[in-house]
Amino acid sequence: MIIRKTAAELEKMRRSGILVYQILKNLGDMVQEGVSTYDLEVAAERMIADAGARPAFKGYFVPAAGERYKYVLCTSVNSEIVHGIPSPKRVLKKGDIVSIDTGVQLDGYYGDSAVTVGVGELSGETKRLLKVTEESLELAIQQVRAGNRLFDICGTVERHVVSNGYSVVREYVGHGIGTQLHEEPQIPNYVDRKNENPRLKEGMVLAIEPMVNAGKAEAKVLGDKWTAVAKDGSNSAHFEHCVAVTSNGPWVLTRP
Amino acid sequence: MPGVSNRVAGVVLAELPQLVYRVDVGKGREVLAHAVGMAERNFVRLLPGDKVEIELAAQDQTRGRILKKL
Repeated sequence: MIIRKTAAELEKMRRSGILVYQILKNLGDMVQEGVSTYDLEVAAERMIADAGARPAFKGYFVPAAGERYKYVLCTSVNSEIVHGIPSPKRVLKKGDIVSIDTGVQLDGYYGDSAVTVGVGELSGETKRLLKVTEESLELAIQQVRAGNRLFDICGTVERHVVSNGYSVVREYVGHGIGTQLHEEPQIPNYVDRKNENPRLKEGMVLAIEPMVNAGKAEAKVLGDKWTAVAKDGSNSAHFEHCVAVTSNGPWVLTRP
Repeated sequence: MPGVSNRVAGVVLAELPQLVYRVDVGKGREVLAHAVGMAERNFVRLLPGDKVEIELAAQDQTRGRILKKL
């Protein structure tokens, strides 16, 4: 069952969403050559504590990994798709792309968002990967309207990405969000008629997150049980926003 | 943080009675899975070693449904 939120609940989710936006903006400004992903983690933890919120990822149990996540950020560099673990040894180099994904819980409601930023000047091909991924998210957000179906979102992402010659990751999915970090429904970035295709109704909040590989779609999980990397070593981009279905169309909670 | 998809590929370990199979979904995780859909209706024969696509239950990650033979 997809839980629908009242206007008052959406206001609370809006506050967590804006906090996530500010954190990601500050972290994005911090990214430069020589910064390690653990520096970002420390800065994020401090910002979340200052705002009086609770980090959403720290202590979050994921059955597939079989353990709790220990950090507040997921930092996935280059071919890492998602769930990259921050480490002082992982120092960013010029031309890298790093996906920063974080979430907070404020007043009982979660906010979750991610951006991929480049370090220094990027090559033309990498720039195009980021552009296509962001565009696919924007197009998908336009589909978040009462009366549309879930496959409208999934199909929009898949069509835009595949027509640009990239591939979508199938092992990881977007999700509903609210008083839990992961709620129903699962939002894959591809259409499979075997999946459920519910109609979107007012008050639903969806975290849409296209994960795009420049090469083949296959992913594998490294020995640390978390980090997912592209099997062929190609670059991977990831953007995410929480979007609420309202009577006036989509309301992106995680940006002003 | 993206969720991990409930659709996973696995390898059949053993055939149990009444269309239930024990399936390995990697990293030593075992799932009891029931054949559904075309795999059920057409009596698709699944033997140990066959690759299958399964859908895990949302609440119980040790149970699932076999959607098809890969």
